Amino acid sequence: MAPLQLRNLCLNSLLLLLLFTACSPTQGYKLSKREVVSSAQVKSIINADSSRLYKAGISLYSKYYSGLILLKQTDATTSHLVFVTELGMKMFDFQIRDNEMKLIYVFEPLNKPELLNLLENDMKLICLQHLLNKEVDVYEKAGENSRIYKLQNKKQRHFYVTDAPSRTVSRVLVKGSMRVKENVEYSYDSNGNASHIKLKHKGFIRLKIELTAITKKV
Amino acid sequence: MHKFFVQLLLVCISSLTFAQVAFKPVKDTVALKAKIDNMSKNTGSIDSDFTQVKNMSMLSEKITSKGHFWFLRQESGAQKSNNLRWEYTTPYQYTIVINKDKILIKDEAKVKKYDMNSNKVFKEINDIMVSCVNGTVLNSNKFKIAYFENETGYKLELWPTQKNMKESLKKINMYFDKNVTSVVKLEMQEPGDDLTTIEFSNKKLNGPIAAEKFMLK
Repeated sequence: MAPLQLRNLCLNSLLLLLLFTACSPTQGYKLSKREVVSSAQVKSIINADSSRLYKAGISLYSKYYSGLILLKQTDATTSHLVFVTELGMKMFDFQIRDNEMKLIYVFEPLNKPELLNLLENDMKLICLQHLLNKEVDVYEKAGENSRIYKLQNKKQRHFYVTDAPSRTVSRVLVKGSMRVKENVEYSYDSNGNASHIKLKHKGFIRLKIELTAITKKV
Repeated sequence: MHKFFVQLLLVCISSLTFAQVAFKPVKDTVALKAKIDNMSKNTGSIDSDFTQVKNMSMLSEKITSKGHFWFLRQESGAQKSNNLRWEYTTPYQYTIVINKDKILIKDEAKVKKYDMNSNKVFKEINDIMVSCVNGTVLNSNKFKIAYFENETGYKLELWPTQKNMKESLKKINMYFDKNVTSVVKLEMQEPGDDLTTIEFSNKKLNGPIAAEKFMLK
């Protein structure tokens, strides 16, 4: 190998290494243990005591859908995520039971497998269904309240940045082998309920979901 | 078409409260249709408050929203257009304007503009809403209509006839006062028995409404 090629190879490798380490959400954190995440560590987005209503905006490529998303726990193991338009038409209804999402209803023009898979995955991500009751790596940093949970499967790594005292997730990063694929950010009200949630895909899929909590009573 | 336009507009707009007396089939449906036609012809504008309640039966959950509704029939020579504005004010801000073949939506601060045919999903929802409001639904072959009455008013049940619509909508109920001066209430029932009710109140008929109401910036 020519000296110039060797030098370029070394530089490229160094750059890639820097890129990987600089972008790692766990930078500065140490793997402390592996545990099953329960509600004692992370509070669910779905409130067991009362339903939550959000103003929702979904931007998908050139289309924009707005409406309301209702999150409601109907029994000890079952919850629903329902999207209705402002005018009252129901668009979809997902049932969440034991960390599995099942489509109960979809407005016929939206009944497209690719779209529904995308929505299902994103709603699971927003509702922390990939994290809760799963065994994950826990990263901690001395003197910090934040804790990062890392979940890995064949294709993706999920990083959940949490505030341990309040048991809330502030950010979720989904990374592929090379780059960030999705990012979710959460804000909370004084009662610890999610007041604003923003999901954004990076790369080829141009999808954004934004939820803002509103009151059901007028 | 405009004569039907006002049918539901009026439909949508009465402050009368219906007693929950059992409805029975109307014997003289021709006379009732004539009354509704007459109501449409005599209504050039509507200005009304509305209350919408979305009742999700399976979840035992209700979402209530309120706002203001405007309708204006414009005639310029041979051209007629029907303009609508639904302005939701609580618990969220959302405005939808139908101005000829354009749909304008203001969601919080964002304004979006669509051609009526550009969005299949939106068109489907919009077609149902507009045809109810403008009364074209009465002449539509998309619905089979049954006419009922009680001591205080009339109820029209509109049952979808097309397979794709049946998948999204079980039926629409339209309530009129006994003199057929206006529509009192609209109910849209979905296949899972979820129900959306829109009731109109504080209505003003045939008052002046500025054309700017049907523009969004």
